Amino acid sequence: MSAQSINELLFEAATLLMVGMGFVFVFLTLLIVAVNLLKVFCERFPGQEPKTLTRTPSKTARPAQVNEDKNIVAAITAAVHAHRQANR
Amino acid sequence: MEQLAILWDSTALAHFELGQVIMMAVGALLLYLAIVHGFEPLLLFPIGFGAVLTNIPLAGFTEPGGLLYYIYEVGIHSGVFPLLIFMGVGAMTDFGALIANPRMLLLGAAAQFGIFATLFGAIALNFIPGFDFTLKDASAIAIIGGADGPTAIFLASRLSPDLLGAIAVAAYSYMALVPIIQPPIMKALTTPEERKIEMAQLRHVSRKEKILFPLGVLLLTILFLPSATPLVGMFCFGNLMKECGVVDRLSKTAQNELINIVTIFLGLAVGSKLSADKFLTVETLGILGLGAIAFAIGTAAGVIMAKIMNRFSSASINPLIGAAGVSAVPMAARVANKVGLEANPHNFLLMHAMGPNVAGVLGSAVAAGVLLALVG
Repeated sequence: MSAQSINELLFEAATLLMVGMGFVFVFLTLLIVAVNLLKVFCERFPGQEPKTLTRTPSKTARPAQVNEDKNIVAAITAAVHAHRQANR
Repeated sequence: MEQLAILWDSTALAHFELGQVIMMAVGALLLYLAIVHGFEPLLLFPIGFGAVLTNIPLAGFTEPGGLLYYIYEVGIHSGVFPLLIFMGVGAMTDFGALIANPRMLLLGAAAQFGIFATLFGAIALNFIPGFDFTLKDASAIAIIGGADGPTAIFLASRLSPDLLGAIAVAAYSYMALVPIIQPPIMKALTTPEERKIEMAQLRHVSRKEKILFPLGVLLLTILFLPSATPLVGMFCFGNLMKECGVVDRLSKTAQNELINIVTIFLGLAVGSKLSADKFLTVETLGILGLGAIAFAIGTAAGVIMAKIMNRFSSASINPLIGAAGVSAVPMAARVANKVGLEANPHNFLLMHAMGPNVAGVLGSAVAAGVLLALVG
């Protein structure tokens, strides 16, 4: 490649550098504005939170229930044991 | 005797060329790095194996009719695989930290300076005899600085398919090297006092905001940069699937099974581009060098931007999180957290660094869109 055509390409690359960085900054700044608007919108219209949130507690509840069942089983076992001991 | 000659002729031994042997060694090196050192194993492993398969003489994996030929044509030539990966990444990304502190988007923008500066550098390499990068080649190489594998592969497949193998290998290798490349730059550009800065806790982000965010990003992209909509659109699609909460099954598939399947084929297809005639060139060395420079410049630009923001903003900002602006999720955020902990053992920056980190993903997708619009 001749030096002249490389210089032309370099000039184009420099233009791309300015335009590209400029555009990325403008676009993401717009996005900052949009996110801030979103925050204001959500504060003004809280509405109801989507109902799928209720599903998560049920998942965590399950192990607790298993524990409870275990406790009940343990209590019944102990009671039966005591009953048998008493009636021996 | 004649039959013996025919038999000898049908073995690979008679047909090995030096280039193929070297490329098989490169494939083996990638396998070694993935298996023994755990360097981005999910990608370097299939890429390495693909490279070995590609260079088998007589097997014709990459000729029309060969397996890897079809995988490449279907997945990468069409641009489908990187976009599917991007959908999965979207479904795995939590924008909470970014929505809580949207100014972090500026850090994600600053780190893209690495991309555009490298574009300049790639063209400047043309002064050295042996290099012949067009503006399209240079753009595809520069996107390595975005530190985002799928974006790099997508852009390379659009602009410069011949360089795709080298670009993908460079992008993923440097992403694995983030913990080695970034800390010296971060330390050189910050004082110990700056590294100790603690940041205010992030506010709670409502589900509604998280649901509306991807839609907002998509709307802006549709209006201002339609050339980035393949990337940003799939990303937002995946993210909305995750956040809306009504399609959990689809969201789980996108984050797990689908992205895993696509990763296997994407890796093999990239490996199929590691043939001797395309990879064993002086240009590959240039690409590897430029990739490292792109990463370093991106990191530095992010840190410097964070220092500027810290000076002018009311809330203090630790400059280290600027380095996370070069996507590479979540590795770059972890590095920022680690370097911060070294300076101040009670300073957990991980959540704060996730903001610029995901901003970097958006930033590199926007930069890719700009390059597609202006160069493609």
